Amino acid sequence: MWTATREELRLDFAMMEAAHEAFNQHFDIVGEDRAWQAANVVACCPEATADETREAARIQAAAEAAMRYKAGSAETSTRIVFDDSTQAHPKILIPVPRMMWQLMVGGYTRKKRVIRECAKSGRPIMDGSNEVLGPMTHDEAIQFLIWRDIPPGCNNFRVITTDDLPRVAGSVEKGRIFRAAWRLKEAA
Amino acid sequence: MSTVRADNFGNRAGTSSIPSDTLLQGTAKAWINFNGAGTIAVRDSFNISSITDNGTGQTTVTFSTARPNANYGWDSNVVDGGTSDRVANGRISTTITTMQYGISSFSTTTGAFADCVQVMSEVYGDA
Repeated sequence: MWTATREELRLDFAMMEAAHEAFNQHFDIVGEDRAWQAANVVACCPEATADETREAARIQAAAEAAMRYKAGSAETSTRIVFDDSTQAHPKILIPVPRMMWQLMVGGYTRKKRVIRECAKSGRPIMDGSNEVLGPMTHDEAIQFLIWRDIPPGCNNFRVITTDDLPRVAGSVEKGRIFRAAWRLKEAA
Repeated sequence: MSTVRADNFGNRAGTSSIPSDTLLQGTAKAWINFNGAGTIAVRDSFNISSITDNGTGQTTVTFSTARPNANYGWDSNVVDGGTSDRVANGRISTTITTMQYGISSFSTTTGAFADCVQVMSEVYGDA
């Protein structure tokens, strides 16, 4: 389990975007199938620095890791628990396997769209840069989803696995059986 | 990536065709099928980045590519094993935005929110 503020995530994500931008500038991806493209990264620019070459290798490794999943679907047991402004019970964000795979393989485009209007000025708030994102690791993909899908202003969240899910109202099965209850009785 | 630009699409024989608007405006822009009971998990989807469990029978769905406006339409259906009194509708407390919408499922017998094993939803709207 790890936690971070949205500001930290925003910085992380900005660094990741900058790395992807450098990657697009100095490296070519060869091959026809997007899922296999990142496995064939070649330097197209002699100006690539050692850091950028290292980043290219990391992106390549991330893409290769993504390829171990079933094509088009990267099932994850990771969940994000967060509290929103309603102060009710915690909400649980479930990443969609297809989106996870898309982020991990690379090629996801953050299309420029109006996502909402500013409550004060009424001006449209834009999301996206029309940039194609490179492959991410599993943790980076989760960070990206936190940054993108959790409501703005929500700083209190935890990343957990399905084994540690909190019980929200009504989620406890009514028909559960206490199989070891007789042992307690025997011990008493 | 290249784009096919055409006003109509037809079959090879030329006997039947549809305007491109039918494809652009008429096809689903997102869909999802998920297990809403127990450990919630998404079975399959299109153009959905995540769902949020807001409590029993209440889910918020987030698009991976935001809709161009919030005037889209969606419908949802639920199936829950042997129970036949489950229905779904829009989640009132989720504000419909270009990024997300909400689904509620509840029992028509008790009127209370209820989790369902199969929750299916489709979104239609501007391309």
